[in-house]
Amino acid sequence: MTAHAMENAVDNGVELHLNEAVTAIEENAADQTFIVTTSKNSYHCKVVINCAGVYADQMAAMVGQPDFSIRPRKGEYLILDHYTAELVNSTIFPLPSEKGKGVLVSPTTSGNYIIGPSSEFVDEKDDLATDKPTIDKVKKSALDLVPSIPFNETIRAFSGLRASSSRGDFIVEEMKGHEHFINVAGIDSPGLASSPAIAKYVVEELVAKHLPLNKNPNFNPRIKPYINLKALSFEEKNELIRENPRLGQIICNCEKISLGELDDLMSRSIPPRTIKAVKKRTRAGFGKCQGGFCQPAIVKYLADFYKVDLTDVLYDKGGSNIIRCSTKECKL
Amino acid sequence: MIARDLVIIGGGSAGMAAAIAAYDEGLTDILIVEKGRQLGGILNQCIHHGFGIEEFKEQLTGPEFMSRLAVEVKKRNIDVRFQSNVLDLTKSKVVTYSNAAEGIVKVQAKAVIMATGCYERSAGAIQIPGERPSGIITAGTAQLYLNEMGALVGKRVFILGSGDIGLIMARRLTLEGATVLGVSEIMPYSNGLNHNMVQCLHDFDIPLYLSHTVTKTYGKSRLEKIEISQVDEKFNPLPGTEKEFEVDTLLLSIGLIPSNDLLKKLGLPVSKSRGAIVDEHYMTDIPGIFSTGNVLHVHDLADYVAAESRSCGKGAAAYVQGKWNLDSPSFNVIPGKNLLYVVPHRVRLANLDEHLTIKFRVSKPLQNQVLTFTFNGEVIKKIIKPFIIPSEMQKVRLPKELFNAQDGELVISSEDRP
Repeated sequence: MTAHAMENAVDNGVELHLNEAVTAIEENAADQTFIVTTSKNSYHCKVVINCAGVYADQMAAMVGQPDFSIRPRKGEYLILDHYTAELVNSTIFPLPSEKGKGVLVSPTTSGNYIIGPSSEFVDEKDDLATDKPTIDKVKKSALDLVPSIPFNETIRAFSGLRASSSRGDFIVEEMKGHEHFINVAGIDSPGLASSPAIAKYVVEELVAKHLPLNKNPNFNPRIKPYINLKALSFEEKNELIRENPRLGQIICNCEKISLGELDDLMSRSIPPRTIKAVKKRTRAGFGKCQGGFCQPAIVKYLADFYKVDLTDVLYDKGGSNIIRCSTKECKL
Repeated sequence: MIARDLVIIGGGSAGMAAAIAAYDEGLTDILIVEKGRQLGGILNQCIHHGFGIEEFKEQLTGPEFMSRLAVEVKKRNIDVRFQSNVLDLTKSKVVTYSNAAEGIVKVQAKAVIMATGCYERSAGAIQIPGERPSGIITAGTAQLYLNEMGALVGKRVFILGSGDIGLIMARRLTLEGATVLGVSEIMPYSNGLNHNMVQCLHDFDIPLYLSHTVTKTYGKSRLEKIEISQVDEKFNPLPGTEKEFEVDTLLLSIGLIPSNDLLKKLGLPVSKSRGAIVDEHYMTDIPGIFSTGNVLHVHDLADYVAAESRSCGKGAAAYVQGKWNLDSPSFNVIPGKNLLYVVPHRVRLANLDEHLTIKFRVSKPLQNQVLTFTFNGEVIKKIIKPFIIPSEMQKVRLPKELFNAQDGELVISSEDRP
């Protein structure tokens, strides 16, 4: 959903700069504009919208004294393989507590089961480690909802950090004394569901106060539809494959993702650059073998597409290169 | 819909051997569906030697072994579809596969052989605690990067799991100039074949930490450090036993799992080997659907895969040619004391030529054992074994004459020698 929204924004003229951290924000008291300095550039702007997640308080502190802080609250999850026998056919929730929704047991749109999340505050804003006691607690809580869960079908354990604000609620407001700096902070659960409404409010009620906003007559609210091969009939699939044979060539055997679907993704306005991005946007690598069979082919694909060496392909952030060196050139 | 007598899913060791055997029994209308660019499956990346001693009485590498079989497949002009993935298999033996040239194709087969091999157990499957940077990779994938793409995945390596793939890669990575700091194995005994322990660990002074497992991984973008801990008999980490290693790679060799989705979708029961339940010719409970090779149970040697798959190919041919009576009585084969699993699980004596080959593994290392074969309560054979370990598959041939009935139960157990 997030990727599609960003694709739509970029299609309509938004500039997306990745791998660019904000290092300083200087406000000009006279006209209330900002110079936002990043690791690569600096930008002069009239309005800043701060959606920096767990780092939102640090961003606000670059401008003034924020009256809130963000504490990361970690949630750990388990993913089970595709189900052959039905475990549950809808999302099972416990009663919520002050810690949040609680541990759910849910089928996913991809035909897996997702179990979690846990909920505990952590100190570091980049602490994404899973740990055994928490995973064990997640399993135990899940068994309170569904008495028999085939945990031996687990294929992945992972975690994420919620941005929890010290106010215990969403913070969607102009910063006091710096009205052109709009904080959209502490958007933890139910943040995803709330985000369209939050965005509408921020633009129409807050940004509109500081910038003249005129509806763009050329705005295209639709992205090019993604091909969903699995939803098509046998004949429809074959018609598409006749036009584009690479749709018939499977690159991820566990999830049955075709080369044609990957080509399509690469042809859009924000093509993935890393293995993790390909994984999240195509599901190639999300299956039971976790990329064991398809990762090498995808590394080669990205190297060919971006015209770089195999050694330059990243798993995720800078420094996460998958290949250390080619065997004929190793200097150790 | 296209009709073929025999469709074989997978063109590795198992698929090729089955195809050759079925063809030589007169079943010549065969289609092999292979997901890779060539025949051979995993053998193509196994450039070490150790193959062929049983089959060809020669020491061969994986690619050499697979070439011997591939040449026989080509000689017989057996149809193969490459870069083709099977999407579905029905109980009525309709195979649906997909490739670029043909699109999605449905084939009505008279018999189907599943020869799809295994996938490697992942870090997520055992929930290794810690961060999830790059550098955590399974041994087979690292092997593919190295042997087929000339790409080294790491320079300072620790290996989790003493299975053969990890041992082979320990040696391989060292030969390419990486430093392998150690292997940890959660069991109190090693899991690999003895000769691999010697040739890959001892010969390279790579330490083995038994009863240890990885308890934390560290690294924001690339792996930087791992922690291992000793475990108790329930495999729980023991506090105070932590050891840290600064590495950029954690190689996982924690098990092969049969790629059995197509059969699981059909609701077929699965045995302790995580493969299908099969009869003496490797046919599943669905008449005409067979399973052989690593997808049935993980083998130690490709040679054994080829031998088993030949039997399976013969069986598939006989089935299509109507040579069997599927209603003839059968007896069950049960893994008894100290046995992890047996293959096959059911035997129709009338379908066998001269002898029954039983394969099994014990569930833990044992000494001074008597392998005991008990048929309908009567002991029909005993084999003395001074040592017997889970990582070495046992193969026993039992002559038909040993069985005085066609139905009942054969129990195989490993008893302490009196």
